[in-house]
Amino acid sequence: MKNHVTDDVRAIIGAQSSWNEATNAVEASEVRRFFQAIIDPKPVYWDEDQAKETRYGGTIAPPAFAVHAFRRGTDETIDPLDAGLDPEFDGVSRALRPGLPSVPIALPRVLNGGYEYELFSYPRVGDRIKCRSTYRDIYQRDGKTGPMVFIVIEDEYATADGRPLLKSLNTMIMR
Amino acid sequence: MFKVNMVEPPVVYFEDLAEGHEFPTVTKGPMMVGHQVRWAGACDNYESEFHHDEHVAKAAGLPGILLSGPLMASLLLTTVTQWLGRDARLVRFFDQNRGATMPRDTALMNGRVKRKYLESGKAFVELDLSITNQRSEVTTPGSALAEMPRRGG
Repeated sequence: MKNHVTDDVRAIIGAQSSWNEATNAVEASEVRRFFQAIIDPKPVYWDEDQAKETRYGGTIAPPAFAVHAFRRGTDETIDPLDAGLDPEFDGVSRALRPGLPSVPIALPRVLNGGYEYELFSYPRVGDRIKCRSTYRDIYQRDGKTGPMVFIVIEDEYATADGRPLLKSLNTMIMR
Repeated sequence: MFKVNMVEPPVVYFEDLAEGHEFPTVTKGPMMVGHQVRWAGACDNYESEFHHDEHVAKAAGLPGILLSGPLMASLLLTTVTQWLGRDARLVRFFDQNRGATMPRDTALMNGRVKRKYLESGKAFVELDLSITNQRSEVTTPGSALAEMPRRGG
């Protein structure tokens, strides 16, 4: 089977982005939309009186909130939904993280293989969340359905003032 | 009007959990396109068209719309925090998106205590987790590690 992990691909292993800060500080309504989406209305996410009695001493955002807190910037004039207007676009973005090079592999599908989280603390309303991403590994396995390339991305999340929130290892699969 | 007083889950202690203990299965869904769209809205992430447009999904060779793996993982993570109670401290969580969850599928959250141990004066439990669908297919294997409160501690 064709080897997709060429020298050009191997060259980006270890590439690390700078710290990117989320567009807005954590907002109460954003936390509400998140816990409603994950069907988890625990009072610790919204009720200060009950949250005071918990180990957190106040309301927090759900554990994986930081992973999904990076939204389109107010000054980002390129609309990601316009990608379909690009005649070269094949429907799959290989730019897996802001600040990291695209993965130069022409396999047609990109799937999210899963996450491993290490949790340190939870975001709170008003926190500014920042993230730094690193390509930890890229390797190929040949299965019955053809080649699969695994891209392991480490994402470190912290507050702008340096409180660690979460470390994630995300495996993306191209096939 | 129907109103429910929401309260934090009760405290569960290290001593309450035996190795092999099976937590009560929690059923989510049937999962609908609306769950997926609400998740996309909560994350401001609309770029993977196959998550909400069946034409795009089928053109890409998928059987139809797929619910997002991170949404399913979040449902499992939420269930773990319910099972382990108010004072547990989640240390690690792992999930693998192995099989698709499609609109109208039911998602069952399963968990058991794989191991419990003390380390440096702290009490930990390791959980084996999975999401299965209405055909008993495992769509999402997973695991978790949490630090638990001690009775009298």
